[in-house]
Amino acid sequence: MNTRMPNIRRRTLLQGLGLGAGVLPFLRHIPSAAAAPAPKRLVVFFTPNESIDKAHWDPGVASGAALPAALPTVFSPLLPYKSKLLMVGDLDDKLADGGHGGIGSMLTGRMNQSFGSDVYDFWSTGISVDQHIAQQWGTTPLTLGALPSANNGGSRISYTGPALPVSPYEDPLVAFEKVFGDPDLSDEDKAKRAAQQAMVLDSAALQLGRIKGKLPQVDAAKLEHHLEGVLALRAKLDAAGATCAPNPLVPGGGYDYKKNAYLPQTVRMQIDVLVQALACGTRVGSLQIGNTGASNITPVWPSEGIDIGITAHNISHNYNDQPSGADKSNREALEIWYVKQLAYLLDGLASVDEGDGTTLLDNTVVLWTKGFATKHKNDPLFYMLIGGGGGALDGGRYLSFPGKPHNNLLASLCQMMDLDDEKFGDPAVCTGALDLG
Amino acid sequence: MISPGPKLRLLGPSIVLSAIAAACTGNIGDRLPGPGGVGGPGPGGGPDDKDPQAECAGAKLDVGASPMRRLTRVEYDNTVRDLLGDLTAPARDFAPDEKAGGFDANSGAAVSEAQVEQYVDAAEQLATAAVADKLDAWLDCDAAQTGCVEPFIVSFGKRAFRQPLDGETVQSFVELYEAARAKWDGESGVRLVIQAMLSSPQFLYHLELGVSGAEAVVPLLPHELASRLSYFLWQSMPDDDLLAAAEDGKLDTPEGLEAEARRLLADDRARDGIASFSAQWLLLGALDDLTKDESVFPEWTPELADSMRAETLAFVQDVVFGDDPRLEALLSAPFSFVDARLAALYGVPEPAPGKLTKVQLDPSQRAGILTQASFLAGQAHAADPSWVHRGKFVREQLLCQVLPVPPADVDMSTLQDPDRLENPECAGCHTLMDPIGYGFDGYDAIGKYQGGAAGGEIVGSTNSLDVAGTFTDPVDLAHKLAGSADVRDCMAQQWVRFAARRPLGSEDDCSVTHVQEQFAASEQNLVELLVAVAKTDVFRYRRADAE
Repeated sequence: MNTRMPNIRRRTLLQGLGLGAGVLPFLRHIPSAAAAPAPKRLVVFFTPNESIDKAHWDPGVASGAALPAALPTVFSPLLPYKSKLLMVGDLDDKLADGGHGGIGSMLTGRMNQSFGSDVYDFWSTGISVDQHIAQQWGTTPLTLGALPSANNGGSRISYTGPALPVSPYEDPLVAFEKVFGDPDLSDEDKAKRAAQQAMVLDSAALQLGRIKGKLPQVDAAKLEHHLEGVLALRAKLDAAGATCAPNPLVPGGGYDYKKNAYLPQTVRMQIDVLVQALACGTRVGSLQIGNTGASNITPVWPSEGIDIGITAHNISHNYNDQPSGADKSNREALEIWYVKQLAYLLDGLASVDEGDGTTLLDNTVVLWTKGFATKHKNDPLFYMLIGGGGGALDGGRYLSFPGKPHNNLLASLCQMMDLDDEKFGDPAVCTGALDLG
Repeated sequence: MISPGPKLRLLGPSIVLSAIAAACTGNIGDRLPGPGGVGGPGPGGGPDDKDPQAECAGAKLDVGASPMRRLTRVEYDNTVRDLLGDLTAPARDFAPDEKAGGFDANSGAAVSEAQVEQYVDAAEQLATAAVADKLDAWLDCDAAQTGCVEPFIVSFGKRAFRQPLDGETVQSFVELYEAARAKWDGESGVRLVIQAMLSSPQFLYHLELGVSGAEAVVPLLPHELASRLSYFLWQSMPDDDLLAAAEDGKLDTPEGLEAEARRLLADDRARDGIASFSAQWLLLGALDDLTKDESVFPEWTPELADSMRAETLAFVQDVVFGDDPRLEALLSAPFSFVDARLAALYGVPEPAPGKLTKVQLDPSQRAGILTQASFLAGQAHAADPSWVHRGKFVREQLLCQVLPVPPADVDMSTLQDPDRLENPECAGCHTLMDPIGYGFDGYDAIGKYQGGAAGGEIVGSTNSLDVAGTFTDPVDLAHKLAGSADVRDCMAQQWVRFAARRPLGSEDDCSVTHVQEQFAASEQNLVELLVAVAKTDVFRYRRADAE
């Protein structure tokens, strides 16, 4: 039984974003379903293209030192969270190839399949850290995307295994319904629908099982994974759903999650879903904005204070080509926009009172990541870990690990989440968790 | 705007070029046209009284492995249209298709849970709508009686699964129906049967269970062949006549297969097949939600992009289903289809409002697909043209050369960088792309003609192409390509890939060569090309020893 009173601090939500009230729904009255002590949560927050050059992210202090009073300009929206912010620099993705051959290694620490006559899709060859942690915890992760666009190794960040990419929910309204149920159905209708879906899923499982046995192994394996999906959906019907009363999403007129014009709205609605889900039983989540190349994103969003008629892809290239003038200010403006969305996520997490004196943010680690380093290089990579991690994350500092494989950071994440992985991803590459103490 | 690359003229000496070009082609994934390759301008390049099958005579029957595919989104939507009369196109909200061999295939990664959920949710919506609209038309008896519903399960199931259901499968759906009827009512039972069938692998996948035995290569079963044929030419399920032809053994001979292929090609649904091929071959997906720089192109709107896509599809359909369905026309015809928006872009008089109208364009500016706005705008940046994208398109889509991704850890900082033609790390591939794309600079990033380009070059390599050499402008290039045996052979290869939905390997050489010869012999007749593809071994057989 949940006896705690919900306590959402509304004031934190939109401040610092420069957005008017009414643009976004407030999170209100989320009864936290967390049992005491509040469990740890993990969130991966992906923004597209490469890291901006080091001159822009380097906090200018020695490794191990406290972050300076002022953060690097592009991270200034995170100033309210500086004490919970661990900046990690100079890692090396030893398994990537500079962003053109897929970004699967980012979270899997494994090679991507190569480009060739047989394989065109660069799928990664291992499980990603978010899915691994969710599996170890026995929870269902919530994998969200905002305009991930295609279906290939450049547009998927999460994997349940080799060449098993996870398709994110791209429509926040669908994601909301999957977490909290169809708000338009009565309890009676919900029960009837669940009973009927159970029959359909049982039938699908039966047919899959029978057909699978008649196929060659490579095809049978695909139906086996399909069957696993069917059984997972079936199990959800029997499990108690989320019992929270979330704030409904309120998309603006003409909203279309597939359109670049609505990307800002999609991102914040997905964050609203994610935060409410994390407050209500979900323990692992991710939000992927765009994809590795992000040629499908053009920041022509005047109401956001950013209006650049150049694709995110080319904004990045143009800056590398000519790091001054409009090319520089465009690059910075886009980066700041991404960081503001991260701040919006942090605002949401900080607004959820877990009822034991901590906030959701105190119990979460948010991993900010991009696919690769500046100028299509594999190093120096830059990451941020934000939150309290239930005591596992000690923020307010900068750490540098020149040349160390990024796998080590993934191993550290596992350990912060109380798993005992000594390595993550390719064991020949990973040399063990980083000392983040 | 970009500045012309003065260093382009520094190309050469040619001996250096061929060395670096070979370094790039050495990484090429699919087969190159060229002497000794499948796409080579070898035999069949001209009038020839040889038996067209002579190349394969005596060779062992062979085809590459064809991994199981899920329905693509287009196939799914067309199938539920033809199966249920449902026009809602629910697959538009499915996760995008995974490509293989240049076309949507869904043959690589297994589905993740969210995708299964999409299928199950779509099935629920489709079945609910179908029962509400059509139950009375489907059942002229009492839906609460098994004796009434079982024949429906048999007949509807055959259409949904594209083959007759075995007794055990029929029984499983009868049991589902009866369980649902006992709990709710007969109508719910029928609805759940439909919902369950639409959630079944027999509906969602192209299943080719085939004849098993000792042979490595086996013929497809008649119903499997019927499905291949309808999904090839219609992007949809077989109709009742095609299922009947399969059952009557009419597809067992190349002649019978040809007759059905011609029947399908004469049906309106063949326009869907041509449109789907064209959209993928010509990369029209690039126009989806495409944004251009407003300060440079204030006239750019999503509707203009829609018009560009519609123009190209109408153009290709007009050629293929017209009096002169030849590849040459696709590549060089001086006419196209415009609405008011496109008329302004092309500088022709505005047509009557409402629909695309066939018009003659200035033949000194426009010739076929390469000068259409869909290509010029789709393969360009927001403000500027793109040498790489336009050049890569010519190499990959028209010459069937597949360029590798840039190597790891190179400095990719500059988009239109002439230095990359000199830097040996970059030049191997960029020499193959940029000099072609550069020749298109007379057309801006939304496809308007500006003139003033300095000409381009298809740089030759060790696998020399018959179109290698310089061209004065894209119209000149278009006419050169239209007369090219390499382009013609590539087109045949693209259609075989599209039919097979997989990359082609050496096991497929015989089939591909055969189709290329047929296409050449028909003087590039695209309808004859499609018929030839349907009759080839790649289409009629599959590997049974794939692991």
